[in-house]
Amino acid sequence: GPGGQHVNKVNTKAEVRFHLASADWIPEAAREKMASMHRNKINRAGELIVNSEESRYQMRNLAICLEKIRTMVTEATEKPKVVSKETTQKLIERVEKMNRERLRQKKIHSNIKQSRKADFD
Amino acid sequence: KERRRGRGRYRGRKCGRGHKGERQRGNRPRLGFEGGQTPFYLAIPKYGFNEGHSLRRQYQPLSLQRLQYLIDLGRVDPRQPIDLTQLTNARGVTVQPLKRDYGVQLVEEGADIFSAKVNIEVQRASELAIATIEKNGGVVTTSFYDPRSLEILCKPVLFFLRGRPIPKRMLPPEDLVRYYTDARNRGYLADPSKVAEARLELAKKYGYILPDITKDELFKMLSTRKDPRQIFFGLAPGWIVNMADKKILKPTDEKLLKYYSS
Repeated sequence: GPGGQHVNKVNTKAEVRFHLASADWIPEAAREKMASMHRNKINRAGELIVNSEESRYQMRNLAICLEKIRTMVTEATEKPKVVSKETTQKLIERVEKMNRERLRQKKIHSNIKQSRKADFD
Repeated sequence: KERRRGRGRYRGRKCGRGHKGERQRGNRPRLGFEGGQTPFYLAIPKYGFNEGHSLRRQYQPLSLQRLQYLIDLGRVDPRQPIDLTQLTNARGVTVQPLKRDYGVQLVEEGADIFSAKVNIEVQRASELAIATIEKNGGVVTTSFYDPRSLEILCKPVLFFLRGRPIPKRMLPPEDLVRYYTDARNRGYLADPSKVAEARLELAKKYGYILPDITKDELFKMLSTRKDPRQIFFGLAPGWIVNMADKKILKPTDEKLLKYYSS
């Protein structure tokens, strides 16, 4: 760009764009998820744009762009965690046990306090 | 030239000493004294930042920009494998083995401008630098030189004039063995197959197509590497180079041959 500080003169921004709908190296479901997650990064022609200008070297900026795309694709392909039946049962049992224990301790404490009362002589 | 004397209207009268007090009378306290307050250099606790600095290994940086400059001016020949000796002869870097220098490290200063296909051998290299050189179709290797062999490498002629046999290069110390057996650093002790894998990995990471060096016309030159015990490319340990008669003497005794070829 025009003169001034070193920052304004050195341009090492790296930009990667690819047409999302016709990218056949990403599975269909992931493609739609990416389209919805990164709606702000897709332009009118349907291209997903990723850019980085964090480093002074263009090669490193390019590497950072590719890393970002990789993370996007992994996020889009991850399946929601399926909690198995046994685990849900276990969790419910744990909660019930905690409550029972709490009430038991409360009763013991209450007995102690009552035993300290000198009610009838 | 004229000596500045303290006489006359400008430099006379108070002679630049100020007005009265310790300043004029030349009785100021020592450097660092803050009038009784605990001075800065005593208030700050000691911490070993520079502890053992004289035993730390140093590597002279060599930027890719400087390397490109040397190649463009013709001081370094890219058609031959580039070694520390080549760089020192071209006065591209100055290594001081006596100042705990253990060699040269590649720095990624001119990564965007670099465009030369070379076979380089340095002591340390950063990832981007390795990627840049391999992108342009070159080969990087990192190898270890102990201080004695480093001195011989930097000043070969002086060594040959001593008339001693070339010693064998020592293997790296414990902390550096791990570094030089790692394929990611392109160490000279690493597995060649792993090095090939690491090249592919880097190509994927930085997003360039790895040029196939086997189809290159200079493939034979690019793949020349030194033996772990060798210091110079054409000479083996144990040989004596006679500069005056331009002859090389090789040992014939069994024990010597066994020692030098171990």
